[in-house]
Amino acid sequence: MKSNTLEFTTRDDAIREECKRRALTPGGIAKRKQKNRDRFLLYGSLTMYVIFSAVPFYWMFLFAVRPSGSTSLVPWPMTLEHFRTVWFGIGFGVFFKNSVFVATLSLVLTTGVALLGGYALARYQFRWKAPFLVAMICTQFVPGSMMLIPLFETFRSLGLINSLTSLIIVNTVFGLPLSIILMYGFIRNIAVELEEAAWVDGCSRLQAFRIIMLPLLRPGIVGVGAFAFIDSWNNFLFALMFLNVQDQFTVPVGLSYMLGDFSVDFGGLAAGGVIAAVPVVLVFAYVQKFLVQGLSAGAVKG
Amino acid sequence: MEKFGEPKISRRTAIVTTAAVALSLAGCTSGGGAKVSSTNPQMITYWDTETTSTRAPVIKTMIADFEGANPTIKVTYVGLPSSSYQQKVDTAIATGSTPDVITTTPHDVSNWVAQNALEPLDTRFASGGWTDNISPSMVQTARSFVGDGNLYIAPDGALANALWLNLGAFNQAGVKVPTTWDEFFAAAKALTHADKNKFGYVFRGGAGMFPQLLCMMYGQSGVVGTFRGVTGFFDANGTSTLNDPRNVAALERYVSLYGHQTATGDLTADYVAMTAQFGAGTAAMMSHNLGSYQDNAKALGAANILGVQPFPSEAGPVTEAGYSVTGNAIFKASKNKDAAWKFIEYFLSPEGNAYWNKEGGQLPSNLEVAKQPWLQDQQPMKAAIATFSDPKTVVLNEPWYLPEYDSIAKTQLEPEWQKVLQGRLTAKAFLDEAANSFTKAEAAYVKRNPK
Amino acid sequence: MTILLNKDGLRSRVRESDLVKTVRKRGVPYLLLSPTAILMLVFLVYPLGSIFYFSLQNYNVSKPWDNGYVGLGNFITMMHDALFWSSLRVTANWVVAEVSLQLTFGLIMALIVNEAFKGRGLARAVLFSPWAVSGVLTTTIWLLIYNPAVGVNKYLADMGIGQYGASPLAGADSAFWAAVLAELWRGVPFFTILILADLQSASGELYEAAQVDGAGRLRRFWNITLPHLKNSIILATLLRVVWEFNNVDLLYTLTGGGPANATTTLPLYVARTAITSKDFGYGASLTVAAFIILSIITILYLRLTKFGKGL
Repeated sequence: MKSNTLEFTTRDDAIREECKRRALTPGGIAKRKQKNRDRFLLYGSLTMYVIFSAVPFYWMFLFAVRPSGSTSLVPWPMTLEHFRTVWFGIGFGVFFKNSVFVATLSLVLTTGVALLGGYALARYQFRWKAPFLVAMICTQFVPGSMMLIPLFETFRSLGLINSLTSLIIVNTVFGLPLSIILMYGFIRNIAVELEEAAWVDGCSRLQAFRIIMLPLLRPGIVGVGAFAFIDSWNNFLFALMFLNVQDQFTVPVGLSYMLGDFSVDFGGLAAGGVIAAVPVVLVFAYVQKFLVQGLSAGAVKG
Repeated sequence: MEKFGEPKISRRTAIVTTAAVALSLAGCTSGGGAKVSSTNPQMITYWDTETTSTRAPVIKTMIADFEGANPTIKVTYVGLPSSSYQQKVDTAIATGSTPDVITTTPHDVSNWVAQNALEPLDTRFASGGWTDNISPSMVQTARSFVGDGNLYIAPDGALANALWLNLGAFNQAGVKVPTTWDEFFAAAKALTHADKNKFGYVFRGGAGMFPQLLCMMYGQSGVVGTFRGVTGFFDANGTSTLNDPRNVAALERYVSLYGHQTATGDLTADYVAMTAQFGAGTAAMMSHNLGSYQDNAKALGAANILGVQPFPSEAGPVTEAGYSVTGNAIFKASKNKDAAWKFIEYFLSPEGNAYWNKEGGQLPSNLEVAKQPWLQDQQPMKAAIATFSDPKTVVLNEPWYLPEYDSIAKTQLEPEWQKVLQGRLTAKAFLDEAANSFTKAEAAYVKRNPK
Repeated sequence: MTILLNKDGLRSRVRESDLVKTVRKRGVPYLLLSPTAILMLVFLVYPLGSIFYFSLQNYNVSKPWDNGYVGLGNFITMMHDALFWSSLRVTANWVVAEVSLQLTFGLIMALIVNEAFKGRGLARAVLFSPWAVSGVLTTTIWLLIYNPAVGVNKYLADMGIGQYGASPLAGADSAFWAAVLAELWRGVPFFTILILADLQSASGELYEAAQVDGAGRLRRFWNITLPHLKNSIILATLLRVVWEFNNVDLLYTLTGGGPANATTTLPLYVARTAITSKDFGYGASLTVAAFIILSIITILYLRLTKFGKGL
């Protein structure tokens, strides 16, 4: 049963799982006790780590909804004034729109190019494969801030300065190495026999790819796309450097206004942070659903 | 066993696929070019290098008012964060994509003039009749930012440092407001109850510590020198007075506050952490410029804060450090310099200057505005004006014109300062190092600019 | 007869007339990789080249009178620069601490949430979320947490633990580990997501077979899961090493390299030199040094993990 939001296994499912697990446990009661202890340890550590992951979010949320000056540890009483200041005062609405546009297109472009490249690396043997991979990793050796001026000049000669397109391209370029490597790994994990079976049945390579591979690559594409979206959403340096029009700035730039040298507004800062983080967090809440694929994925059939 | 030949991905398909990707890239460039500006209205771009949530609306209001009075000029506003604007402007200069007008701080002016990027404004300033209307001392300070003595900014206000006091805390503890340095140190002690999360003073141990350090050190010792007509921290021989024994003693006394009358976390405190502590009432005294007035008033209530000027130094007169003049500048590459200058003049005019400085907590540069009553209503302003009008006050000018200024004050000295606070470096060693660096830089400067 | 290797390394014989078709086939992977190659060449090679060029120059925009070619002068200065060596040491500590901790926690968490249990969806959502947060926002949140006046320290002091006004960022060691913790929070999901996605595409039959055979959890993990994950983990870890090496965002805002340069990594030193001090020439030479070091690490790493064999 699929729901549109986070997936919870129902109680029946849980019971069924438990019976299955017990049936498969050899060794009787003593073994089962050991298993219970193992489970307790595992889920105990999971809980602790989940809390560790959640606390900073809670901290930011507290600052965003608490009235200024309050030090309570509970988000009550709540106030929306910080959000109002940030959304209308700074103009976060516009930044948000730009961020969505840039991140979505970067996602599409990166995933598309990575799919092509990953397939080439995974399914073909050719001489320059290893050097190519190493070269791609090498492009990550220099931080972006040192390459600003030549990058800027390149974009300017292409007429792309002051347009969101420059952001899309630069996010793609810097996101490709990871995306290709990931896609390469995902494609490799799918047995080539599946494609070959399709070829034997008369499919062309492209058809086989579309019909067989794409569905199986869903967790891979989702993972790569999510990484590309997030990296693009959070990119600050290039957004600041390549855009010269206030109305084109993205969310990270807007966020940095809150950290000025002459004003301290923790509430506004946190509210801006919440606005910046919420969409991507939601993306992930959605993404984790697609990473749930049946255990039979990739198995060689018949 | 022989494998069947696999169906080849048709070469056409592969080409089409890759071409589609390439086309989608190329297709995006069509909308990127800038439009040609028409002769009417004229377009100028204005970059603000210290955008914050409170400052942006102020500038937008001023732009709206200006455009209302000058319908043939349109101003495009771009706000940049104060933490990262430098790289953007340097990139713009290097690639010839600078705006028309930009806000400045003193070391910005020096840096950009070194890159030959700013337009000298002397003739425009004089022919606009501003020489009589704008404070001459501010103009003089603005000229001192660069070696050639030209005017590259239109000074619209000055920032003076202040010692902020939390009156509520003073009254509660029954401590008198200090009027001398000895009283200051005693008050800090009396107001400190570490176990109750109350400290007498908050240190700026982290980013931007240099102006505060100069304030508190020279404020105590009063040891300034005059070199080539500029009163600053170089003596008549061009040697830095930073490590004068009286300064060393003053610094040692100041450093003794750390960890005793201040929180240990101050080691890394920057502006944000400092004002947060002061605003939360955990620190009773803070050294920062007048610009934080709005923040402090909002946090504690205007009636509860006091912004006092430095106390008389050992040498006698009140010694001011951390004084700087701000203003707008025009880039040489601008294509609309006349329109740009008209916009800047708005910041110098009585209405613009009054609004701008009132909102920003700065001392106005327009002499007429300086006489307005609202200045006397704000206690910190009133105190600053009184001190600056006193002829006995000594103002210490920092050597903004040195290209190594940021490199020394920030990159080199900030980590060293933290070592001093940690007790790993003596105040004397620190000041020796600082003095050497500045003396060397000054010597190199003199060689390049013999008068 | 022309002998060709197909993708499984098996030889197959083709006729001469197929040579044309095979040449076309040989071109296909290059064609598929061409968008990537073009993007990289246009946008990255020129900037990289300029860095190498500037490393041989004295280039300071605010002191243009001194600019000019100095050959290896910058590199000689670098060898005698104590801060260069200390920043290398800090960087090494940072990378080792971060990557090993992130990989460990990421692996453990991925394995745990791979199983079915109630609330798994929520657990996953929470575990993944820190990755969504940008570098600047991460530091903002953790600065609020570490803030002496309004952060965790205040509440602890209220309860009698520790002093008021203290901050973990004020001590050299504590600042390092405070930064490690903040980056760990953000970095673990990277591995969790990757490994989980990889686990999800593993063959279920293998697991069931192993379970029926009575293999314990640990055995299953060692013999089945780990080899399966090996390929994707190797490259992803290498990328992570490179990223953590070059991580400037977090350290710049959280500690600024302090206190007293205790958390100044090499890239942070580069940023301060090139941007604050405007000494771009020396900054470029530091970058070249980092490039060389990372290249050596990459080559060694790939050799050690026998990566070439699996390609």
